[in-house]
Amino acid sequence: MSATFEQTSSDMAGLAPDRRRRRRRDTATALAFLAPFLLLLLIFQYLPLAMMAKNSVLDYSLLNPHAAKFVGLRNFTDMLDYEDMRESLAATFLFALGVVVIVIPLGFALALFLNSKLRARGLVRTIIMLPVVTSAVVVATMWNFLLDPSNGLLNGVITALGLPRQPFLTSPDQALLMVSIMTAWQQVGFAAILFLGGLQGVPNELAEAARIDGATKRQVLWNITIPLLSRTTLFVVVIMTVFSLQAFAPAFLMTDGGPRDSTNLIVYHIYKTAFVMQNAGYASALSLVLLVIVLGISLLQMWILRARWNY
Amino acid sequence: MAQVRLASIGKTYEGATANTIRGLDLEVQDGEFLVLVGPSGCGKSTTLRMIAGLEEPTEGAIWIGNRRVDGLEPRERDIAMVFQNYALYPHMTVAQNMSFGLRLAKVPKPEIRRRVEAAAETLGLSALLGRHPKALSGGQRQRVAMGRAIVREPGVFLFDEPLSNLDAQLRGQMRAEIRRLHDRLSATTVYVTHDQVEAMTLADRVVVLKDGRIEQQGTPQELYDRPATRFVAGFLGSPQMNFLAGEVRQGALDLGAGLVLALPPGHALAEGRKLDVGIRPEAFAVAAPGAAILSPRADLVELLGATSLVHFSHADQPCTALVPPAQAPRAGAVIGLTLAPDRISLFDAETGRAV
Repeated sequence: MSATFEQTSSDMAGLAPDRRRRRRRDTATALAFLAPFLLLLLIFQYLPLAMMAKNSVLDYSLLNPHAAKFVGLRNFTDMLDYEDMRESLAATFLFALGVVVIVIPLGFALALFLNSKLRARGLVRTIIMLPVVTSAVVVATMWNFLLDPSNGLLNGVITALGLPRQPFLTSPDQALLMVSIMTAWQQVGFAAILFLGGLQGVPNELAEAARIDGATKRQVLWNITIPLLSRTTLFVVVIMTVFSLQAFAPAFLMTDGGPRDSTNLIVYHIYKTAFVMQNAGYASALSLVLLVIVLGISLLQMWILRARWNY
Repeated sequence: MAQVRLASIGKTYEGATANTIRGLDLEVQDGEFLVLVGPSGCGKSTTLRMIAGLEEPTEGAIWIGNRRVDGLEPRERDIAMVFQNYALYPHMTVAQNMSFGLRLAKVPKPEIRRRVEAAAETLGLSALLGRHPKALSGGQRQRVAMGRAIVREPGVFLFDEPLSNLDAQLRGQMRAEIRRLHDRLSATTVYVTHDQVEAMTLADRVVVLKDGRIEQQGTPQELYDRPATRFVAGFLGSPQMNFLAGEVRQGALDLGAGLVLALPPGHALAEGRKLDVGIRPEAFAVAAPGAAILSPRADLVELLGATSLVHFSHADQPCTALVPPAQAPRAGAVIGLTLAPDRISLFDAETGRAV
């Protein structure tokens, strides 16, 4: 009895450092595997982020970096004193709203369509996903052709129908909407795939139970499917909003932020501030604010998802 | 309340080579508790889903009451169904789950409340009405699923293996509850299960399905005592019926290894006919050494509490006898057994039909 006890206790004493050594070795192996990625992340994400944070308190031009001067929080107080950030953010959020409002119902409808028993499902899925994987530059250029006020395809159709020619990207009232529509067109496939994933996660039996409870197809959709997809919907809304907040190509390639700053999206505004107006310090401060906004939205999403609809 | 009638129902799934259901005729009387039982893939769930309207038969007709319902939507059939996985709406509370059908039917609010409260009271759910399904145990979810069916006051209740996700103890409890509920509401009920104990205990009438056809139907006792086929005999009863190969020799039944039984009364069988002889484990009785007709060596003895299961071999075929624990031998010991000729069932060795 006592012999067994002694033996086990000495075994345990022998095991403990052994186990510690193994754990250390495991950690080292894990780090070795992660190192290439961590290194890239450090160089291309965190280092620039740190530099940006530093630059945000400097008066700093890219043409003459050595003349940088510490200005404290003046870049941030400038944001409140001048209208440019507020106007640009307003345009950006309006743009994001437009994208979300178009993408959500269309993406959902497409997902419903893809979820039905369809013959050429793979083909349709590819067609819908194609714009998503196409470069934003290509898409913007293509839509430039489509929306051209004089030679554009769209105006061709409109005039053929006997309707008046539209200015589209050259009108302060239409440009933002057109850019939203283009972005929504590009992103709707992604939303559809996300919704499709959500739809396929809803057990078939729930719809069957609802049908037996007396629901029509539309009532099943309204009372069961849509509420159960609220998590997916929130996720799509956040993804689309964050994506829209970061949009650059449409403003850069199609409208140059105009007409009358109506499409002056925040990232394009930051780019112009830094590289055209040579005010990199102020641009860094703007970037920091944008980062906080995007972070805030993401945190809000995580909090809502955890607090609600946690079935 | 309503009667359900299936006439020459056939069902073939798209892309399937064989029919799932073939020429099925079935009548469920008003207020009857009918259990469809059979192994997996026998078509019992498909049959139930066709009555519910979740699947359409490829041929034949279905009547509920006086109405032909095949081709109608589930909501037009006056049925309620309890699913195996409960299928509770996760975003609704217990009360909302139960009242969903009534709200769709635009039943007045006070009436909805009355019915939900009454059903909750019956099922012991009153304290849980505000909870979401996630916060309920398996048994409670099962009750909510039943409550959702009850409040609709449908003509026909359909149950699709409702107890198979519960543990054994809870299953026994819910079984009794379902039967009590049926006795109170006396609603026409079609209940699908693969569990023969549920079939035996719940049913007014059991229908045994195999390969999409009815193998036999009758009261549980009829099916147990007079199985029409070897399949039914083997399917119903736990522990399972023993089957020994036998042959008619000189007007008696030769079971090999020196065991010869008189033919059961009323059986005149041709000399040399090969039979499967079915013997229920409880048909054996322990006998004194002189009176025993077989004296096998017990391979294994399982004590079940009230009874003991003695496993042995007869002519290289496994066999089980159910004996009182006091009379059970030790494993490896020899036990003397008798067997009354009128307690055996005879099946044709080739067709499996009772003879």
